[in-house]
Amino acid sequence: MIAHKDNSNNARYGMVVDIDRCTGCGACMIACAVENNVPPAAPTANERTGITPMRVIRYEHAGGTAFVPMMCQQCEDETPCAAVCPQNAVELDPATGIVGQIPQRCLGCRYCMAACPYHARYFNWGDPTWPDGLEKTLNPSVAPRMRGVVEKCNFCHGRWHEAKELAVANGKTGPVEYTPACVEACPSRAITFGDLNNSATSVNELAREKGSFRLLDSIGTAPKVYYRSRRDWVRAASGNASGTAEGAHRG
Amino acid sequence: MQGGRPCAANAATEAAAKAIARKQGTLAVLDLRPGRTASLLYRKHLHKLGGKYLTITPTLGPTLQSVAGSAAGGTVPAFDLDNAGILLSIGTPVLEAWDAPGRMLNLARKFQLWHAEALESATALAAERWFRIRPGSETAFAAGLVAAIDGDQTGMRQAAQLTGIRETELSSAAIVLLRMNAVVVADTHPVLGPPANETLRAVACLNARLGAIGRKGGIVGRRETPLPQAWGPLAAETAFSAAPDASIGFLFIDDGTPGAPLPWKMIAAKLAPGAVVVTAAWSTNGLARKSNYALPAVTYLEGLHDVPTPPGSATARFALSLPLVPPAANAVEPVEWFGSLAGDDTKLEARLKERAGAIYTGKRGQIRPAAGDPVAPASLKNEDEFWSAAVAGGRWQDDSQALAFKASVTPQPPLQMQAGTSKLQLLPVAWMGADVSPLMTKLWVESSLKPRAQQVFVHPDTARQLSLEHGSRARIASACGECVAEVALDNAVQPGVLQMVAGQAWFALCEPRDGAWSAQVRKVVRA
Repeated sequence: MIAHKDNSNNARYGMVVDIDRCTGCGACMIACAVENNVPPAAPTANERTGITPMRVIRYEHAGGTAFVPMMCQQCEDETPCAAVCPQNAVELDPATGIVGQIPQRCLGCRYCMAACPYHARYFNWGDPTWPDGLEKTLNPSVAPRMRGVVEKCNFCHGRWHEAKELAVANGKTGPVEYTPACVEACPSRAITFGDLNNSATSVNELAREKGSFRLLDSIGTAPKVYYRSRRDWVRAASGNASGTAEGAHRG
Repeated sequence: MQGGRPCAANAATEAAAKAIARKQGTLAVLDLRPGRTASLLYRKHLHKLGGKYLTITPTLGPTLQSVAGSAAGGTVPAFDLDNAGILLSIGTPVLEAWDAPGRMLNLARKFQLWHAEALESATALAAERWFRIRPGSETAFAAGLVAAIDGDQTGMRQAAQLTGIRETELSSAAIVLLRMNAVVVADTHPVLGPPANETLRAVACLNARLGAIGRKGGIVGRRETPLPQAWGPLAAETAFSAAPDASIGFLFIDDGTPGAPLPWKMIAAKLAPGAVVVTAAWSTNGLARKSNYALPAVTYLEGLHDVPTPPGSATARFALSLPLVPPAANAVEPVEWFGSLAGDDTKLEARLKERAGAIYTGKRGQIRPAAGDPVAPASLKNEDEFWSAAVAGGRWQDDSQALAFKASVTPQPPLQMQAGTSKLQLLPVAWMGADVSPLMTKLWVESSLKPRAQQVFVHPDTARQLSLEHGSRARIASACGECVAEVALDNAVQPGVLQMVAGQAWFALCEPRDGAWSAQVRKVVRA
């Protein structure tokens, strides 16, 4: 069952990624970086030291190739990164279900990076810098992170803030609708985003459908990012014992 | 020589004037992005100067150009994708760079997209059906489908051997294509260039056999976007490959838009001794590096330009691309620079306004604003109001009526079906898009999503046969060059194929052939 135990008027934002539609173009990675003021890589950066809150991973198998957009899975139960943070720099927001990272509290110990089963957290090894001229493209709604702190996907929290402010200005309360940058940029519309608590949303419907699953569902972190595929070998690679949708829908 | 380094416009003008005055060889413009208003202005100026207007990819696109040669009725051919049942793409990046990707993804929900390509491209992965043909067997694939329709068992068997697609699969595909209102496209690949002429003949034949030429949902006729009459006669469009070798004395290359790599050898073969080449370029890499003079060009989003009618549109269009950022210092608008050689100092913006005026006067179609209902030009007060609507993001689109189109000659099936002659084929890694932003490093520096330059990808079986290991270095030689690259094993690469990023190393191995270019591997050894 998808519905959360919480019956309040809170949102529970989640994502469904259709792996069969992803062509590995990387547009989501670039859109994420532009939206969230993630600077270009330093010349010496690599996969471990770079910052890619949204990363598309190419997965090869005898059955073919699959591209898996990988970001913070927004774990709901026993959120591993929040559990280990000595600074309370990681918080699960009950109003949105988003796992937030607060850079001002982070001391850079990187326990959360070690604890994350999805390798979805990145460390700022240096202060952010942009080539001349590119600083004009910075998003004024998002603060760049400083050297020495960890960061990750927060479902474009800046966009959520803007949507919330607009809703409040219009006298609306409760969950708001908004679209993260990766969802907007995906040319093949592989990513669906919305409130999992709202049974009228596409994301709720897709997450329930056969063929949807969560990564490493068996470890019990209850991610709010779901994946879909018609291909058996893709589902089997999800790290679940059964590799089936049923496993993913454990509530 | 100032090649590779940006030069001042007056230095290039002086050199160009001298080269033209010498009258040694032809004066020519190579337009790497035909179909724009700037392209028409090149043709206008060239008519005055007595020069040639050359293109690598024809304005209509190779597939439509191949049937337009035998067209009747005064219209130009266009794909009627709104009404197509199946679009069979042969090596064309239909969902990547052929048309607007968003438009094609929407359209692809209406028709089935079938795709035949040796590469595991984004289009191949997203297609409803992907025929993974052997490299270089595009002609055989199209001819095999023609043979299947004609019931030619020998042809089908030959095609099956060359393409790796079973005879039964070719046969069943042909039946579905015939039943489902299919149309076939084989257009330019961003890295591999235009299809070979032989492939285009086979595709024209296949379209004719499928009844796609002149049929709703196939290839129909469309009117062109109106032109101001005062622009007068225009120079004819000529394929670059058709220009005689060593014939060009002065060549101006409009390389002002990212994403059109081209092997320099192809250009060098056409240059007369002592020829002068001026390239208006968006980057100092690529063709500018080899040219005598490299002019920094006002590129995409830096200047006011128009957007050509996309190749998949059955109706003519006109829309503006507005500047968002100031151009680089000393950047020139390529067509304005070339116009000054012909004594015409009119700005491109003024020319675009003239074109918008001609569209307004024609009273055809509708202008669709960014928000709100479409408006007919007749309901606007004057040309200025039409121009204001275009500047505000409105897109003019001609009336959506499919016009009759008839090819007077039915192309004959090709007799020769030949795959590549060497056992090892070298292909580019599926197109990566233009390297236009430092943020693209996310794709290959900070992740392994896209390969790095100087890497060669091989199937493990092929690597074993060549005694190569993951991480080892291989020396790859073709008939015209060699390079050293780091070996990466990849199960997604076909056996017998080497794949490289289409950078300078790849182009060093390529040789021009039949209007396109390809690389035939002669030798691969461990370096």
